[in-house]
This record gives sequence, C-alpha cells and structure tokens, in this order.
Amino acid sequence: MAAGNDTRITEPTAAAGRRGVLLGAASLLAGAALPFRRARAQDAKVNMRISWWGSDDRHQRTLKMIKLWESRNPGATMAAQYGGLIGYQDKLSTEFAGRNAPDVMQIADNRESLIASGRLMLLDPYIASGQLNLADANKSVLETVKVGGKLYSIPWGLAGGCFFFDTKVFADTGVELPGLGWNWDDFAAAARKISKAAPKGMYGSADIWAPAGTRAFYPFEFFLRGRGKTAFTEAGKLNFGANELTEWLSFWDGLRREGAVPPAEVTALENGYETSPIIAGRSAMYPINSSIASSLQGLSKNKLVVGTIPSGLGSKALPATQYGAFINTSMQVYVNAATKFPKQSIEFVNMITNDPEFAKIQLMSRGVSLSSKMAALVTPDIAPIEQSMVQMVQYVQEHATPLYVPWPKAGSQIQDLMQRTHQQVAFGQASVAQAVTRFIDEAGQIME
Amino acid sequence: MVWGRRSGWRSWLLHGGLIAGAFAMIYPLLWMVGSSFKPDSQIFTELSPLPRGLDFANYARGWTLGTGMRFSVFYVNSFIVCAGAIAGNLFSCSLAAYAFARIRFRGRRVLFAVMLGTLMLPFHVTIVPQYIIFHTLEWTNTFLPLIVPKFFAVDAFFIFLMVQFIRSIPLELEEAAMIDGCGRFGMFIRIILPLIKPALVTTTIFTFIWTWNDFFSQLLYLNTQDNYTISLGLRQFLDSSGASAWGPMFAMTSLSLLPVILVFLFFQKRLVEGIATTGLKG
Amino acid sequence: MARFRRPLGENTAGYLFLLPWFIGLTVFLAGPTLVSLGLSFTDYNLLDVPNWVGVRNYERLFTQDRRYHNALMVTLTYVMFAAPLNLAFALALAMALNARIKGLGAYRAVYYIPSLLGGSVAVSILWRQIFGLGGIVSQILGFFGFEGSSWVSSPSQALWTLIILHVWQFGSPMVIFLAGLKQVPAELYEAASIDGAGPWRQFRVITVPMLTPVIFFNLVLQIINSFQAFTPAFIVSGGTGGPLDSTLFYTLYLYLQGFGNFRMGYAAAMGWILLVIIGAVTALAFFSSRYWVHYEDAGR
Repeated sequence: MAAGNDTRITEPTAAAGRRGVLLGAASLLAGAALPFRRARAQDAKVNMRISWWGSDDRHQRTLKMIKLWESRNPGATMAAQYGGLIGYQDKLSTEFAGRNAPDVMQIADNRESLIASGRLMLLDPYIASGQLNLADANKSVLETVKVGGKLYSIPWGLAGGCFFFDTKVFADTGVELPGLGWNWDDFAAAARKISKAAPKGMYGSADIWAPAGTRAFYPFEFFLRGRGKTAFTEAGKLNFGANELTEWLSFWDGLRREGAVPPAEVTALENGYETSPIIAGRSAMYPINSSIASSLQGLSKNKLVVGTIPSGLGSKALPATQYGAFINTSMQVYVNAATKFPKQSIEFVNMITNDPEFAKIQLMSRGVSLSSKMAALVTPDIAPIEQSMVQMVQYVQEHATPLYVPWPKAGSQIQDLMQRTHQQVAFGQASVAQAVTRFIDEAGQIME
Repeated sequence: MVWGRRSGWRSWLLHGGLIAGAFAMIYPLLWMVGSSFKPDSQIFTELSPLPRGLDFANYARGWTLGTGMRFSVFYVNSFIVCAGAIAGNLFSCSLAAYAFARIRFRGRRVLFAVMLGTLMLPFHVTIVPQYIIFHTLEWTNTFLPLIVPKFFAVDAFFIFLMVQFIRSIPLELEEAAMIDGCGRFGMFIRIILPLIKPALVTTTIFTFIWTWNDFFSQLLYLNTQDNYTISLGLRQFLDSSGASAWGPMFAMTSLSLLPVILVFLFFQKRLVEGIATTGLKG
Repeated sequence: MARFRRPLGENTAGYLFLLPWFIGLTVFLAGPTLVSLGLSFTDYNLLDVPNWVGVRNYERLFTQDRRYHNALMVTLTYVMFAAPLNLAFALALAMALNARIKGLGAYRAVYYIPSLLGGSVAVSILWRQIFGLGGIVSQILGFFGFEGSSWVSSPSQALWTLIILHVWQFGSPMVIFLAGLKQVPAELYEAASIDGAGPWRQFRVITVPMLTPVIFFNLVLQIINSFQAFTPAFIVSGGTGGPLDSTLFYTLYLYLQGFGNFRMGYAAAMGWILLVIIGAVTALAFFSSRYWVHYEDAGR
C-alpha cells in the first residue's frame, strides 16, 4: 500500500487497540498519545494524498498509476483515499471545511462553490510554463470545463450525455438503429415504433428524467445550446424563459401520453442504472452519461450500443440551428489550492493526460483520454461497448458548438428543481403551464 | 409469562406462525446470498433468488478487491473498533447510569435532560465541528475518533437503557448492603452490575452491530485502505456514475453478516439461560 | 478504590460516577453542539467565513420554504405510524420468543436479521422489487382484484413502503424487551401460579407492570429515532426523497441542504428546530410516565 507516513501512525494505535480493548481505558489513553509522536523530520519529504471514487476496476488501475508515479519519484509517496460514490463528496466537503483536503482529487459535486472560495488551484499558469501540456486536447472540451474563463480542472476521461440502445429489442421490433447524427423527430419516431411493435410493458425509450442523478438538466441544456443559448448567463441568472421550457416539457409530455416513453410510476422505479428500464427489460433506449458504459453492458444479457443525444437539427418538434450536445464529463481531476506539493501534483495531472504508460494502464476506466494521441493509442485494447463510446465522444467533440457559460453556484439546485418539475408533469400533479410557472418562481428564489 | 408447558396443537401453531414470519424476515438475505453466486448479468435480470449453480468466483474476486488489499485486514480493523467501542460503552455508560438512577446529587434532573438532549440533535449539523476537533488532535486516519469518545459515555442511548434497568431493581438489596458497610462503588460492582446483566448484554450486542455496520463516521475518519473497516470495504464496489461490481459486493456483504449473526447467537443465549432471581420476594 | 468505602456526600458520589460522561460531554459534544447553534444564525457554507444573518434562516424555514413544510409533514406521518407499529410487533415477538420452545436462538436470530440488513444495498434494491411494478405486493393485490400498482414509485404510497420497512426492522426493541422480560423475577410468576392466576392475568398483573420501564425506554427511543429517520429514505429513494418529495424526511432535507447545497447554516437551523420538537414530545412522554411507568425505586 502507498500509505507511507500514515502506516506508522496507525500501526501502534492498532496494536494498542488490540490490547487496550481488553484492559480498559488506561492503555487506550496511552494509545491516544501515540499520534503526537509523529516525526517532524519527515515533513520535508513528499507525502501526498489523492482521492477518487469508483469501483474495483478503477481502483486497481489508479493504484497502478500511483505505483508508477512513485517509482519515478524515489522517496515520494502518494496515499490513496478511495471508495464508492456514496458519501464521497460529504467526506471531501468536510475535509475542505476542516482544511485537511487531499492534494489531488476528483470532485463529485459543487465544484463551483469550491472555486468561488478559492480552494482549487488555478491551472493556467502551469500551462503557460509548459509543466502542463494540453496540446493534444480538444479545445472546445477545455472551454466547457473552464469557470470564468479560467481552467481549474482537467477531464480525467471524456464522457458525456448519451443514449444506450438495446440492439436485441431494435432487431426484434424491426426498427433500425439510429445513426450518430439523428434528431429529435427520428428519436420520437423510433420510440413510437418500438412501443407499438414490442410486447406490452416494453417502451421505446426511458423518460428524460429520473428520480436521481444528473439526467434531467443536461439534455435541456443541449437543446438550448442548439438554439444558440446557454442555460445560464455570465452573471449567474437563468438564460431561458417560459417558452423554451414549455416546448421541452410538452415534447416529453406528448411522448408519455402516446406511450412512447413509460408513465411516471415506471420511471420512478429507477434507483441507479442497475434498476433502469433498459436493464429491467422495459425500454429499448436509455439516456444517461456514457461513463457507465461497460458496467451497464455487464448487467445486460443483450448487446448494447452507445449513441448520441439527438439534436434539433432538421427536427420539426424541437428545431435548432446548431449542434447542441457537448462533452459534459463528470470525472475531472483537481489540485488543492493549499497543497504543499504543487509541482508534484501538476506533474501527476500532466501524466494522467499525456503519459503513454499511464494511458495503457487506465484505458477507459474514467472515459476516453483527453489527449487524442492517447485515445488512439489505447483504442485497439478496449471492449466493443467502449469502442462505440469512443465514436460517440469523437462525434460530439467534432460537432459541438463552442458556446459555453459555466453553471453558477446554484446550478446543481436548478438541476434538482428541473427533476422535480418533470415529475410534477409526469405524475399529473401540474399541467405543463403550471409546472413552468412554478419552475420560474422557485428558480428565482434559489438564485436571488 | 411461562409458556413452556403447552398442549401439542398450540405449540405447532406457534411454530407454524413463527416459521411463516421467519420467511418474510429472511427473504432479502436469501436473495442477497443467492445473488452472490450469480454473474452480474443475471442479478438484475432474473428475479429468482436461486442461482443456477454454486460459483464462488464473486467471493474470490471480492476478498482481494482486486487491489491487493484483503478483506482479512478489514475484518481485523472492524473487530478492533468494535471491541474498543464495547469496552468503552460498558465502562462509561454503566457508571453514568448508576449515578442517574440511584444517587440524588444536585442538578440530577437537569443533567439527565442534557444527557437525553444529546440524542436529539441530528448528527449532520455537528459533523464539521467534530471533524475539526479530531483533526486538531491529529487523530484522523486512526481508530481513536471511533473509540476514545465511547470511554466518555457519548452514547446516551445506553446510559438511558441502563438507567431504566437499574430503576427496576428493588432498593432493599442496596439498603441491606449499606447496613453491612458497603460503599457506593462496592454496591455498584457487587449488586447493580450483576443484576443488570441483561442490559449489559444488550449493550454489547448493539454496540457490536451498530459499530460493525456504521458507515459515515468510519468513512470520515479513516483515509487509507490499511485502516479500512468492513463497512468501508463493502462500499468499494459500487459507483453509480461508473463501473460497479455487484456480485463481489453481495458476496462480501453476505460474508460480513456471519460474525454479526454469530455474535448475536452467542450473546442472546445470555438472554435465555434461566430466569432472573433477585433473591427477594421469594 | 478504597476511598469509596467512606460514606460520601451524595453530591460528591454522583459527580464522581458521572466524571467520564462529563468529560465526554465537554470535550466531544458540547463544543460542536454550541457551534451548530451559533452557525444556525449565519450563512455558513462549509468553505467561507460565516456571516451573521440573524434569524433569517429560521424566518425562511417558517414562512417560505414549502419543501421544508412538506418534509415536516412527511416526518410526522412517519413517526405517528412507524413508531407504535414497530413497538407493537417488537413486544409481541418478544413475548412469543420468551417461551421455552425449540430453536429459540435460531428464531431470535432470524427475526433480528432485518435489523442487520438496515442500511444495506440489498434492502434498497429488494424493497423496490417487492413494492415495485409486478412485485410480490402488486401481484397479491392483483389476485384479490385490486389493480396492481407500483407502491414504491407512487407519490401517495411510497411513504407507506418506508413505514413497512421500519416496522419490519423491529429487532432492536425486541431484544430490549427480551432483556426486560428476563429481568422479571421468576418468584413473582410462581407466587401468582400458586394463587391460581392464568397466563393472561399473569401477563396483565406481573409482566406489563414490570416491563413498563423498558416499554417507556423503547417508546422514547422510537420517538427520537423515527423523528431522525434518515437511512431508509436515503437508500430506498437514492438520496432524493422522491418520488415528488413524498419520502423527503426531515433529516434527509437537512442533509441535502447542508451537504448537497452547502447551506450548512440553514441546515443547522433545521437541526435546532428538530431538537426543540423532539425535546417537547419527549418531555410530554416523561410527564405521562408518572402515571403509567412502574419503578422499583418508587419513582424518585
């Protein structure tokens, strides 16, 4: 283990615990004194901490990357702090509040607040000095991760909103698999056809909202971008009005009434992708972030394929003039502004992006490599579902409109509000018009 | 209630009812153990709890977590934390409970209300200040934040439990002991502790199980894998934004229940053997 | 420990026995508690220096926040049904499992298992299957001619699945009842038997009165715990309190505000309001206990 300094602290404590538990308070209090014996002489040494969330595949690969980094930096250690996503951000937030956050980390939520209070390191100076090389990265992707025109993070792997298709249901119903350049009319037609041709209980597509997760807002933002609008203004206010929201909600309300997407009670059954309609055998299409591709495939008996989120180009229902989707990657790497080891942290981030050995180790465990060179290097080594994910990511990168304004601090609250708004309409608790009025009203309160 | 000597049909009725109820109790466990023998592609697509065969691959994969860290380390760590917490709770909560139940000191009612009050504030609002205390003490990434507070009776639940048990012990015993020249501490050790054994057993069972299953405080204070406990190990498998390993997760969850069930079976016996005798009112 | 032998003043003895608790209170509990009270009057966001905002958080909670009012109603409904039903099951099963029957240990363990699975992922998945579309419950209801629906994803029924989940996990109060039953002196039953009292009369005259301190304990704890219920909604609704906020428990909303939206000042205000609510209900329970709880120390 790469625990370094920390191993020394715990070993005596653990031993004291084994005895002390039986002997009672006295020896335990003796044990309590041990951490104070931390050797100060060690402080000059490089002992960093890194933190990420994931499952065992990502853990294994990241640990190998750390080992490699340590072997190239003799004497330096990087302690790994990792686990599942549940509770990840709560712990990280508490550590930030207690000024004890790791040096390098993934952030699950609320990066806007952390940036606003100056807790994350600005990366632009290191790009200027050449310590961080982004020459092989797609420029439009980098624009979409900037905040206030400045770069605080690097995508650790590219992923984005996508549709998964169950090829068996498509084949059984005789519907052709959509191409990457499809629009919302094509989507609606395919969903209707599948619902009609498939047995009862099978729907063309899952709904665009889900009880949890980030699904509800991004597709709407894609739609707005197609119209040449961002979701928020630079000043952090809503940049759309009742009209656009009404169009969007009505489109989905119509599909629901036709039975092309399932009724609310079926959609609300989802609690994470493992209980999603595409796995439960209730839908042929499923919109979500592409980062779950290989895991979703692992849960399904049928072959899955990754497609894009449709655009409004050439669509009558939701017309648009530009290609709205973009790479909204969730797995990014950040550096703590208070790190004692800025040089080493940046070096690690640079290796994540540009090092061929790193690329070979991590493959698609966080998505497609930011550097096009590295992505091309590993493509032969990956599974079919991941190859279709690479195609989706490349298509979106090539077509995405550069327009982008980052979310304000209240962005994630607006996302939650969007989810509740969808639910009100879907459960019949509000008409589209009522739901839109409520949304504008509540959004105003949140952003005041 | 002495229900032992009953006629045959009533005993059958009781057993029948208990077994039917038991099925409703145990079904989720069966489903989980069944799932631990299935490949991921069958867990969510086939609802029957019965696997097609006994494949231990999930157990092998789960045990090492793929990262070289083994669950045996997590078991040892969990046992250390549990044992520390149990010792702490038994020691400190019984002392405090005796004071509240039997000694008439000034401010007793107010302090008792304060003690109960510590149970009433949702823990989320004190997490950050508490974290800052332990970070200042340089106790993060050690077991100390999980064990040391227990030696200072921070679990008011158990104090209150023991108070209730002490208060249902007749006073006559202590009055007799007092006449024999027995001091407060002697009475506590020789009379009260033996008589509240059921409460002490309950404290042991609950502290073990709750500490074993506790997730958030262990997540908060333990950083590196060599310090991880079972409940943290079990959360290594799931990532709602990426790959998840369901089969190994169910396999390790099933295994992690074994010690808990064994501890429960062992200690609950202490709640069966014989019936309490106070030596009074005979 | 010889000095304890000397007759001590009640005050000195009491404070000495309380010493560990008192240290724990001042070192680990009092500080964070008072800090949270202070923060409830600020806009603390976990990261920046908090600004004093007076009673604005409280004012907002009382007058503006509709989700908060909803969360309060959801929690009150939950407390009113989940706590008493859970206690009734626990007591009934404790009585049944206090009999001298074969396989007692196994039965007890099996009935305790739901409480062991409390916050596990398996329960969150299964609950959605059992009460979901085509699950066991909708099939049984369909068999009796009711339209099969999905409880867990219906805004009007989802809360009931959580109440059932809580009732199902009656293991802990059951164990406490068992411990209480064990403490009832056998001599009392023997004497009553000799007097010709049947099982029902023994239950009423001996078991219930002797058990009242434990019943009271379980009641108070159930009130406190169900007001603070967090895990069931968190795991079954995936941390959202959905569908449509129908399972948005008080503490879940508090958590979402504090850790989800970084509005820790606001969350602290919610926490302190809850403390007052629980304190009032508990005080009521203590007041009532004078009339029905039987202590051997004659209610000192």
